[in-house]
Amino acid sequence: MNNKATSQDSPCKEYLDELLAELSNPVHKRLIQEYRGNDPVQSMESELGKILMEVLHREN
Amino acid sequence: MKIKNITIQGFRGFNEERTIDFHDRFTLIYAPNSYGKTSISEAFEWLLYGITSKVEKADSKEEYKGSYRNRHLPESLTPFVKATFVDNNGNETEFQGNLSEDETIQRFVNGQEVDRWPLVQDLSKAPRPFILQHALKYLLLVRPDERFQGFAHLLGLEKLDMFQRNVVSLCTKPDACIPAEVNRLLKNISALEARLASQPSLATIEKVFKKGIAGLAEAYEAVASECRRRVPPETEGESVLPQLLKIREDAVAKIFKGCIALPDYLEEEKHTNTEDENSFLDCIADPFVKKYIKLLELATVQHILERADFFGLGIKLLDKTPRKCPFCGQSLNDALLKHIHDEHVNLATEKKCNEELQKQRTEIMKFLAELKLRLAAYQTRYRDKAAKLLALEFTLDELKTILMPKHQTHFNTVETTISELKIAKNNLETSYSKVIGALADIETSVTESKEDAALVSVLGETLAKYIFDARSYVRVISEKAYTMSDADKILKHELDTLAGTEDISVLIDLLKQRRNIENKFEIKGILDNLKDLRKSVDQYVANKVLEAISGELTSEVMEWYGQIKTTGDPDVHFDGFDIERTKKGELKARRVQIKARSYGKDLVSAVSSLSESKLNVLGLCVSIATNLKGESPFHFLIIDDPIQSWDAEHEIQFIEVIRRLVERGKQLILMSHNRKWIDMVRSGCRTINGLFYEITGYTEAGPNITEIPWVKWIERLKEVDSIVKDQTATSVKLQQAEEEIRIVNAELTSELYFKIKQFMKKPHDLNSTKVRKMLVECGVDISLVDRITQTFETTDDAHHAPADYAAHRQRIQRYHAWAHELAKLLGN
Repeated sequence: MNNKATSQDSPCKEYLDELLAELSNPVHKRLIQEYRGNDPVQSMESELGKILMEVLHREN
Repeated sequence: MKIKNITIQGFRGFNEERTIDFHDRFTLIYAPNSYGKTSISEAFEWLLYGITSKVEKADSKEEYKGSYRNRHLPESLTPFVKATFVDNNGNETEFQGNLSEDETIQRFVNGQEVDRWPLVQDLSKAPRPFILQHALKYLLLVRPDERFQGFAHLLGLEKLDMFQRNVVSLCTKPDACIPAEVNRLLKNISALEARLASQPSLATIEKVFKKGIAGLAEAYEAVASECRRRVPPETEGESVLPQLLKIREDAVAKIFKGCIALPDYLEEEKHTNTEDENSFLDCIADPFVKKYIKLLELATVQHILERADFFGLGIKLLDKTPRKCPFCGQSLNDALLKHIHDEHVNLATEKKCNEELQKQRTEIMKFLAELKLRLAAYQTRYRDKAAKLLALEFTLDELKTILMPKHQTHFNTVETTISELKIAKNNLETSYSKVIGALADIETSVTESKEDAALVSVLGETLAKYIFDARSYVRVISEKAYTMSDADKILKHELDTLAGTEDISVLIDLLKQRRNIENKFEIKGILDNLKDLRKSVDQYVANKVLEAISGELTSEVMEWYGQIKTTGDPDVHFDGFDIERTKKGELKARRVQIKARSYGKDLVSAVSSLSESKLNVLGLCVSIATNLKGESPFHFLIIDDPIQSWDAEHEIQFIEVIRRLVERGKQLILMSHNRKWIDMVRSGCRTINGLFYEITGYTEAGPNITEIPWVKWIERLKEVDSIVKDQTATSVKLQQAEEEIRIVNAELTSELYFKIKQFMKKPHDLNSTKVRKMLVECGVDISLVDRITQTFETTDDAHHAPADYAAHRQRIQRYHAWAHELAKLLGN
């Protein structure tokens, strides 16, 4: 699991940190945390793909 | 930060370079439509944000491509917009934006290129210093979601708005993010669920399966129960699946034997193949070639070894007959004997050196043997991959009977795949034989000491061709695997139908796919739960926007709206902003509501109730309120054509708003195509003073911009005269009169200077020192110069009276007389 606590480099960081504090679903938290960088949409989309692949390939 | 001036070249309606100076309080620009007025506000927008709002809002940005560059600007020139800004301390900074060929902006600050303007960290959060007519339409007369976007834009919440739209897009259409492998799993399990649903005997299992992951354990208990009913009673737990498989295979084999599955290469297999191929390719280069070439060098001295052996034998025999040649019996003298011994020693030394040759040969042979083994394993892997499918070539007629005519496409797929695979396999076998042949030739060359560089070249060529054919073979399999998998499923289904083993087949797959079914449920859960994420984000963003639009913004808009709203017309007015709510009271996503009231009753919506004039007034008030609300580095406001479709009364009321904005310290740049209204503004704001430009014409070179006096000095003096004579005039009125005199004196000085020196100095830039200097240069009597300079002493450079200012009627009358005296020098 991605353990990043905040959404650094995000285009609206202060809002996302506030939203993250309100979310309880770990998958949702991971997606919002990935809304960052030069292409936040791509970053968030690839995180969803990564999460799904983790389910597919997990050991247990 | 205020604007001192702007220079535009080659941008929008401006071709040749033009500079416009701005008054530090108020500048009015009048131009009929299409005379380049809006190009000025667009130039500012583009300079600050790199894009104009018109392009930003356009549905088809393609239509605006190339629209920034003026078509008449010579190719050799670069379009640019340059503005001088002045901060609170009077420091000037020049911002210049050059239009690049790719339509992006290249920024320069005081001539130095920069990545972004040295303003606030995030310019998008500060309200934009523009009120543009076309923007009002985008704000109010649009769908509620577009209005939401407009408000977010105005309130500096654009990135939050963009974030929400991106999350909504992800949550509603996540398909593009689902990896192909996951999609295959979802499809396979869905197909299995459909098969389960088609089996009435397994209805109990299907019912439990519908509970999702929560019912999985219960579902598998039901699966186990159904399985036990189909195997002999004594079958133990672990043997149930093998027993089911056997029952099915036995039944199906009576109809058709064979398999049309063509499994694609797993990542692990691909990795092994690549490793093998790399090692084969290494053979063609290092280390094999080097070794073999070395062998060639060593082989040239083979005869030395043979001579050394000969001499070795001779020396051995000479031990028995030291003075006689062991081969011919000839007597040997000392010199001859020494020669034989010396030759032996030399050859023995060389022989020792060339023992390396034998070692190399052994290594080469070992290497070749290993390569052959690896090639054989590689070839077997390929051969076996499609062996079962290719074996069907001779039973295609049987397959045809089962699949045709219902599944003609799938049968065709099988037929084509077998045909293509056969060709690929034959190519592979042929190249493999050639590689083996080339290897055998090299082995023989080593064994027979007939090394030949050409053989290495042949091996290289055959290996390269072999790898190429192997990859082509893999490609055929990978391309066909997916469709063949479908065909295989269809065949299994048909065979199960014919053999009556459909239920067993479903049970087998349920047992085999348990893990995948669990994963599918979890993946579906993640995808389904995205709607909850969307809801959370919707609520969060809606709340943020609600916080921004209700309360403070609503009351501020109300305040400005109250300034303009008329009292005589029907009481149908704006009543605040809100976000629409659901019946449960939750905020609706992206639904900004404009409320209206009429005679104490709430109306459905302001958009449907307010007249066009009132809506435009409202839009303007929203823009003003938001502009004043946020923290902005800009202390100027550019208002472009604000009064379109306004009632006459609203137009007049708005002049008071303009005065209030200027009094609050905003530097206003107001543009309009309405000459009558512009004159009303000048008249209404005559004591504010300012600059007035008229665009008097438009040619290929661009707009002709002419500066016109704000109010003619003679009119100002008449006004002063009437104030002074009015015994009821308040001290505020008298102060205004004194300010007017000062403005008149600056204008008269400027006109006189132009008349005598033929050089124009802008009156609004003049202070007492400059006025004195100019009047002296013009040869004005020093006594009058002193008196005129004195008129500047009671107010400061910004026309503001000091705290201890006291209006004095007689003083103003004296000032008034001196101004008339100065005017006489102009021949007036």
